[in-house]
Amino acid sequence: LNIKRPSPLAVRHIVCPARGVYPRVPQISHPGTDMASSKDSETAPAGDDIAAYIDMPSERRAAAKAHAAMLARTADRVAREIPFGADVDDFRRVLTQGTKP
Amino acid sequence: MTDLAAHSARSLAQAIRDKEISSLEATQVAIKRLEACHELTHCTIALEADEALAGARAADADIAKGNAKGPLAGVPLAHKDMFDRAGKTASWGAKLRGKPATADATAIARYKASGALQIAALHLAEFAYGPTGHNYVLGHARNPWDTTRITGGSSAGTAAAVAYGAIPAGLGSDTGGSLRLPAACCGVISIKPTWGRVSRAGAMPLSPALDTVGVIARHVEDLALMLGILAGPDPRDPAASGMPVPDYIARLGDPVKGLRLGVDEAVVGEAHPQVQGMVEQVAGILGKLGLRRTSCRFPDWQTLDHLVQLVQFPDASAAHTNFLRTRGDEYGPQVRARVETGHFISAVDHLTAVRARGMFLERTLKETFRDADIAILPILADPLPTIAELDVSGGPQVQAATGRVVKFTRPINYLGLPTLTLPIPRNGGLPNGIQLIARPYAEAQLFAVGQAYQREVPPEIARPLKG
Repeated sequence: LNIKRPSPLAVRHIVCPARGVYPRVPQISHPGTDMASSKDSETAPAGDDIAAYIDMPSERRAAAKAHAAMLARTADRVAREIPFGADVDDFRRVLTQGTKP
Repeated sequence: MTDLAAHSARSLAQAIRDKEISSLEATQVAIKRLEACHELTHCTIALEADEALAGARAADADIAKGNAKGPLAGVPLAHKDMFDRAGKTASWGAKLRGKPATADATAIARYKASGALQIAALHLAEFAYGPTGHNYVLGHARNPWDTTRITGGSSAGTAAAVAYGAIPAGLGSDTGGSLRLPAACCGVISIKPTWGRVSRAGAMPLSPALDTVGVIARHVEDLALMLGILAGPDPRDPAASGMPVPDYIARLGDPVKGLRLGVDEAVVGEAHPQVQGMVEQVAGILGKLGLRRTSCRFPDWQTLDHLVQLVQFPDASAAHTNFLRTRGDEYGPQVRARVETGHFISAVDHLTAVRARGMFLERTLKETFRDADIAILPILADPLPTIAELDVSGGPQVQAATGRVVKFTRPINYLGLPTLTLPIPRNGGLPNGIQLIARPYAEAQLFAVGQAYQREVPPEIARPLKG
């Protein structure tokens, strides 16, 4: 079979200090938005693109990133515990069923 | 001036029905008391005296004809200014506002149907997004017991007005502690019902996954009466539960002897030593009432605290995206910083926290409440702070400072459990409070315990009339 496989170079890797190393496809830019340009995404670490559309001072941006990174570590840990079939509606079901011991 | 402050809403309603006092007189007194309270605490956003007095005259006329409108006929109340009222624009505690509402919020409509009057719209943290009573747009609320101290937030005005004795009760909401913190700081009580017990239709959303409408009052019987009025399904809010609504008033006398009071010493131990002492003091009183102390253990508290933030921050930021992009300069600095933060949390992390919620609630019910009927926890981590101590605005310490304030409250919102705030015996000192947490929809059990507690620790008024 003549299956064309993606070149290893087509898959970039980003490093997020809180989450380890993840394979990632090249970012698509969205014309008409003020998100970081595709050129920026080629050169800057992906983390720098987060919420680029918000005009905020660098000190507050750094604080927000640090806080989100701290929470992300917990999300990462919890994600390993959740059953694969966990659903966003489980909470309401347990709430209703949990009235009696 | 007659001091009606010692009345509960329920006893005031009875006095009005029995024509011992007119609704007009009660409303005039409440308006004067609220004006005085506002001078001291900045509790009011809009006083609606003319409308309230007209409503009081109409209530008196109905009662004279033997046609009292409902269980709260002619009783003057006031509420946090975040509920839709037809033809009015709620302030949301903010400079940014919506359009005039086309219909009443369900909670407001149910109060109106019960005959209650609304004399004012009360102070709240900007967009109900602050736990201390600071409001960098409309001005900070001040505590009626000591005006240098915080009221707690976000339902600051309701708690201040109830503590002062201007109104017997009022509406608030709780997304991360916004009923419990002001009730504790102002030495009054509150019920944060089970998530979904009360419709949120027409209430300003902060984080719909967590938002809970509830009541602040001085008397447990008022919490019971008012939750009975507010609770129940609502086609306007799909999350409003269809679980049967008990007769909470009839259940106030349920026996409490033998109920198991769970104490998680590891979690309580994270509070200031004085606050730990307060928990012990209240647990001791509950022990005298016949509750049996046991140990219990919540799931890892810090994990719960992180998960609730992963739910709340993006949920709130999503609601504010348009305002933030188009009118960001009109936010106060603290709320702006918090609204921005949600944009830095990934959708996957947010959904992980949402998907894990059922698992953590199940774990809490199976483990924490295995050997306990009710759990006791602090509300504030520290003795009542001053306004100056927590005046962090939108600076880099905002998450740490506000996080310390909600340390014991917001994880309970993640679990969605009902929580009753009770004040500590003050003994001449500053107010503070503890929270009692129960299984889902066990509000009646909490009220029975609260009713028994108030026989030992009666309600207090911060500024009773002299003479």
